[in-house]
Amino acid sequence: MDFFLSNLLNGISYGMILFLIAAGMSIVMGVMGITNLAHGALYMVGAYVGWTVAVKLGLDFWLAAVAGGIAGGLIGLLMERVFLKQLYKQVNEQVLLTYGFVYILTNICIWIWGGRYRLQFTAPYIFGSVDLGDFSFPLTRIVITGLGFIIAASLWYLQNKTRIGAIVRAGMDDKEMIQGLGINLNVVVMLVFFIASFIAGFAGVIGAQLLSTYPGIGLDVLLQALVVIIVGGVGSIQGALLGGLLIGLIDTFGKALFPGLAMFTIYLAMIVVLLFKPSGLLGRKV
Amino acid sequence: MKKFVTILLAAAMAAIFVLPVYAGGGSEPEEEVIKIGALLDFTGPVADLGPKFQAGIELALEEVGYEVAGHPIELIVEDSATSVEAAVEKYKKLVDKDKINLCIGPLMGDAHLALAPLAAENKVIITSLINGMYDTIKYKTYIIYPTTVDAQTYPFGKYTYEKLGHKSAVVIAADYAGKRGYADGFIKGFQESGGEIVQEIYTPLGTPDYSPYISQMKSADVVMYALEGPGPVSRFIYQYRQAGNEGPLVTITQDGDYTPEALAELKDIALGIQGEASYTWKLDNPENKKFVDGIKKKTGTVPSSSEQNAYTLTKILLAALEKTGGDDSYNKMWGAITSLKMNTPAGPVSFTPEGVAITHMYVTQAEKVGNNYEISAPLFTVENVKDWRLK
Amino acid sequence: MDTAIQKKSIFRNYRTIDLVPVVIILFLLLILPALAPTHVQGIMVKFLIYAIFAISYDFVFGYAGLLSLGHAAFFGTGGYVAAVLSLHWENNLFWLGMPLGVILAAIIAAVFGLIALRVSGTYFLLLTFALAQLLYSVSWNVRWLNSSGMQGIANISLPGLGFAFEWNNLRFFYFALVIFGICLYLLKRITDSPFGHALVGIREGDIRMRVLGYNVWFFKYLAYIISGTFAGVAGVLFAYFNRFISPAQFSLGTSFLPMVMAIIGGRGTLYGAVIGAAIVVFVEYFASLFTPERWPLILGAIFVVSIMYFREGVGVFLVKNWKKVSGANDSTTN
Repeated sequence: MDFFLSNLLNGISYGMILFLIAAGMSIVMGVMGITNLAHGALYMVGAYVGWTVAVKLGLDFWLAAVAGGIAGGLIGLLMERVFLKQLYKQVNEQVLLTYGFVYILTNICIWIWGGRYRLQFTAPYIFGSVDLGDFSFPLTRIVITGLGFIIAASLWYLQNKTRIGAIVRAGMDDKEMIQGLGINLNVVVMLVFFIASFIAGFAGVIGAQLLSTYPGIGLDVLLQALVVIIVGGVGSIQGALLGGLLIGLIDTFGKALFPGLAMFTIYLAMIVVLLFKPSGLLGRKV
Repeated sequence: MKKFVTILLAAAMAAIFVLPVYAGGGSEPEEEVIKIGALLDFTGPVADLGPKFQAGIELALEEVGYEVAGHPIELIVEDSATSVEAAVEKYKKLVDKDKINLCIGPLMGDAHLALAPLAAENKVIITSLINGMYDTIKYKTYIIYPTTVDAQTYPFGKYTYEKLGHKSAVVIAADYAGKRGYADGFIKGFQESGGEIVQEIYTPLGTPDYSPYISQMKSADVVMYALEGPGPVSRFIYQYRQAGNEGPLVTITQDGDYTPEALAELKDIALGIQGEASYTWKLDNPENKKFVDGIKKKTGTVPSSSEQNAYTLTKILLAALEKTGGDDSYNKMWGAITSLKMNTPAGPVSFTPEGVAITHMYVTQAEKVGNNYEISAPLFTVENVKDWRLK
Repeated sequence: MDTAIQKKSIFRNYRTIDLVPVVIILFLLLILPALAPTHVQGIMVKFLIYAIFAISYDFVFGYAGLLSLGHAAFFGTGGYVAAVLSLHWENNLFWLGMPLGVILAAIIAAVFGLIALRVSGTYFLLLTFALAQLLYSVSWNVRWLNSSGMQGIANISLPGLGFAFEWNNLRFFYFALVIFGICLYLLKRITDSPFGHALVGIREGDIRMRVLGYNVWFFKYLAYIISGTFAGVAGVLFAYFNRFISPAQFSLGTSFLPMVMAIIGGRGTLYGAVIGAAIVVFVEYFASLFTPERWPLILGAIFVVSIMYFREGVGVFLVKNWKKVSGANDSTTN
């Protein structure tokens, strides 16, 4: 029972980080039609900036998280305005361009922060654990899970219940109509992209409570986000949440039950989903 | 404009094809200069160790003014990027282009296995950096220091059972050649003393989250961890303690993982974990005093075993070169190195004919001195550790 | 579309000036390597191996329009076949390793193609990526595919040709050059054939082609298999030359290389991919001499510049404008 419970909680909290990473990328991909492979790199930049604020400068952890988010958001915005804007609907070019940015951003992080792995960090009052029966559960994981649900709920609300959400969803289906209604699509696009990138950077700091920060994390996180998006479905918050939790649980239980096959189980799951429901479990068709 | 760009591009294209032939051309084998190559990792999971190794090598060379037996020495350092492919490529560059006969590093056991047959063919001597793989001995081209992976941890396995009194153990190690070898040595020593290995867990390289592995650990007296490098080690200890596990931990190559930077980050969590170490800067001998001062001046921090191993290996090469009068060819150097006996900052060293070093093994832990977290002086010493298969 | 007639008219229209690039290229490929130091010869071999990989990719991407993110699957398969032959059967016979490697790569492409081609667009991208990752974890975990005590297979012997022969970098270069030439020739024949033209039609609008009665799925499938087969050739050469192979040859990084090369050089024209391969391999070599740590930054910057400003590819740009340059001014020499 302990085994099951502890792995369940671990899987959910890990899955929450995956959700945070994948959410922004999935929305941008499904709703805006932009494939941004540098999304993981935004996570990485956020984590490093957060590290500098929280560990090097010793400031408040939540300040660091917001700082990481802003860093991610700004770089994402830069990419979109200067480069991606001109590649509307050209998936091939976007893939290559954003992958080029992964290389560039990763190398810049090495340049500034060096190649060394950074230890996990968190706010001092979150360090420690809560006793649940025979085992203890780290507070950081509880915080991550709670935060994940809050963000998921807010995004879902934004997507389905607000005017902005409706505009974005409509805008991608029919650009002219939206512009005809007098709405400045450009501003909406910038806003969505900024929010998605902000979440990536923010997730970088939140995730840094659990995972180390290192230059390669930009690519590693990208791979995980891709898996989540494939399984959960492109373009919806629900999909990213479901995908994240599912992959988090499969990964955790997979490692606990068959340690040697850890990587294998995830990719197999991915292929199975792609074969039987290619748009993912909750995705909308791209 | 397009015309201009075209011509510019065409010229650039021509240049990148032709220039390597002349600019990147190989150097003529100069009789005078002795070239020593170094394959160190500056990028990848163990990137922080690269500069440390380099500092150790450079210190040793600076002490002799980059000269031995009347010949000037040239050090050529390449990044093996913690990848076997990069190590092989850079090795080829060092041998084909720079014409080296001696190479320090690379670090990874996998890379050793890939390079050993090549080095045997080229008659190049390669030294290990923190351990060696027994499988490379048959090529007679490897200088393994401090000793082979399993021989290094075998005495520590015995120590954990006999001196620390733990009767059962869980072993968690990174799943690749080097760390599995370490685990094997520990397991053998522990079991031969009468201990029981309750569980063995092998984690993929670069695992971000150890919690699934931590939660599946069966209960035992002690947990022994052997992970890729300071980054993963810190991460594991942190997550282990964070999950509320208070039981004892032991480890190997603590001297390499407990760098001053890692200890500063871990703080109190690092205390109380005993580990096998081939060196600690608190060893009390004249060579070490000189060495520690040298590193402090050079890098501003105290040395860990990374700097020491590189330093001592360089000194070994220099001593052998003195013996051969500056002849760095394989035939002369192999005999010169294997017949050496020296005192080093880590204690005395000698060699078996197969090129495996015989050194001391120590047990250390982290301690708090004032506000600093430092590695301790040896708690225990095993002298003249020699790989049992070479008896 | 009689190729024989076409050939004759091309020769009739040749001006002396057009021979200059041809002569230069022949010089670069045939004479220069003999003058280069051993180490640079090794880099040239690397270029040839990746050039084969790149043209195989250009065929499926530039001609058929399928953006695959998992081409390393076929490259790695070819390499592992040669490696396993060396590891478990102590066999290094090239005449066995190459055909087997190529056949297995083709089989894998046939199987993966069946799976991947069920979807298109972004999903195709993701699925090809997942399939390659599957092979990655297989090569990592299955003991039989690894030399004892390490990840990957080391100590692969140099190719045996059935008669006594001593290898060195220069000889390997010419050997690889012949293989490259054969691959390029074969692919050129395919792209110039009706099949090749149909693929371009499919790339431009597959609905139209379907209406015209083409079995679009089958054409794509065939293109995918052909592409995978040639990628396998490159993989076999890789294993024989580097004498070592590892799971990294199945990774995303390896899958990206031919894509990068084909796009930088110019997709949809086989020579573009070759130029792209040259650019990537040689600029990396230069970077390694001066700023090895900044190489990824440089490569990233080159990508971005090619995408934004040389949309059709640097190679294609050069060739198109060379004609203008040499046409406008007869006395222009390089």
